[in-house]
Amino acid sequence: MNELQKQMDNLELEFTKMVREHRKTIYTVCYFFSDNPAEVDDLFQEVLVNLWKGYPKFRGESSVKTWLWRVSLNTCCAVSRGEKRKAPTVPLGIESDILSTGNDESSHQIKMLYDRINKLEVFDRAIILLWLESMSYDEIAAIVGITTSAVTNRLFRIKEQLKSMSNN
Amino acid sequence: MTDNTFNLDELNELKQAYQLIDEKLDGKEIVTPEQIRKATLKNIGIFTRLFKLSTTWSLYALTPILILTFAFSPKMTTTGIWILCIYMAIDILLHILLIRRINRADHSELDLRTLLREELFYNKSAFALSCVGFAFWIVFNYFFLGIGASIAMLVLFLFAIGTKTKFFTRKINFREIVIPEYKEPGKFRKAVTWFFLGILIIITLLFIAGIVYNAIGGTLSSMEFLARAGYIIITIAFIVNALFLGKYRKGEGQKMSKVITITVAVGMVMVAIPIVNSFIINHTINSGELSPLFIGILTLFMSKITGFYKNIK
Repeated sequence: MNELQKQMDNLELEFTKMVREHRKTIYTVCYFFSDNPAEVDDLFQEVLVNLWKGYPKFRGESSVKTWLWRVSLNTCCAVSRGEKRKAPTVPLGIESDILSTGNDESSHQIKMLYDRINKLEVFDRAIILLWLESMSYDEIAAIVGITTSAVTNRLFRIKEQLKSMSNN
Repeated sequence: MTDNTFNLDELNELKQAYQLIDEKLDGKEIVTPEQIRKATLKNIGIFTRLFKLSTTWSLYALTPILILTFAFSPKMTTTGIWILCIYMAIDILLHILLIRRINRADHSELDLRTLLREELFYNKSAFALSCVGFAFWIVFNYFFLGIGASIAMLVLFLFAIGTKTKFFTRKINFREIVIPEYKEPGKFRKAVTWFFLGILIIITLLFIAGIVYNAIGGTLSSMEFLARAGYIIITIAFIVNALFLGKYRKGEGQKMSKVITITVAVGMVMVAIPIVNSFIINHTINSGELSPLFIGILTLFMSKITGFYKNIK
């Protein structure tokens, strides 16, 4: 029993460490999938819960980063599409509006990026985020579960959409 | 083209903006270990939801078979009917008690390990209750209706277990939410789903054929025919409704929900007419005839399933 307890404690420590290491990725995904900054907190929780639930089963077949992106995007897409009902939340209290506050140039640019990405469909948002993360088409395909050629076609369409937003 | 070689000025602008995010978040705490622990408290909501879902499915799977049992069971004795009533009452009570325990427990101070154990306990309890329930129905049907009904129950049991373990609905990455570009996922799971559904549909059709045959042959009175037809309509409505649960959860399929409710109501009226008729003629109702009343209550409860499902939070 003590051995099991130790294992669980280690698991918890490992998990906490991993989340803190990749907090920027999780936060960025949540940020782009929320309608308002206050929702980032909720989404962040939802992603954490799903990560925790999946962590003991994570066998390292893909890199932690890939797995983390997959879970985060899956969760955010499901919530955005209303497929998943939100369970009662315990306020997490994270700083949920770090990115678009402030009057500096970088805040304006990030806000512009947010506005454009938010106009895309949920699934397209996931793909463009992975592209912005400089992942290869193969990696994107592996994460979102479609073929590489489907990624190519989708990305072409998304880029056209983004360009037209830029022209407007 | 497998790399990001498609860069245009406008898009580069977006890429630069994206890189700024990394710089801006650099060194920010964002989340503390304590906040991570707190977030897992949401598990409580999740397993409450899963548990309610599991209960819903238990009742969902049981109700059609119960209705079919009554519809095709001239052998069913009064004792059998009361055994059923008592069993159902205990089953529902146990489920309610478990849900109340989940809702009342204070999970706010628990650590991750204990939370996980609690979750496991509730899930196992829900599963065990369902298994006991189905085992009862298999044995019950075997003794009261014979091997055929028992096999039908077994099929339904396997179907429900598959549903509960999300065997038929499990998501594989994004495949389920991407619509056009590529092949359909989970073919094996779909095949198994349709196999079970097919068997259920065949069983139901055989039952219907039997009833129609008896009615044409004159071995069934018009009132008996009406009552049994009512049972069958309700059963089919439930099965169709089950197929739409996924849509209801997404807030879709409202029209279908209304059609099903109306169908169930029509079935109920068909079931009620012979009871009223019997009471007017004989001025008495024996305890065996109370069975439709019991089914009626259960049916009304089940016809609220969409609302019940919506309230799962």
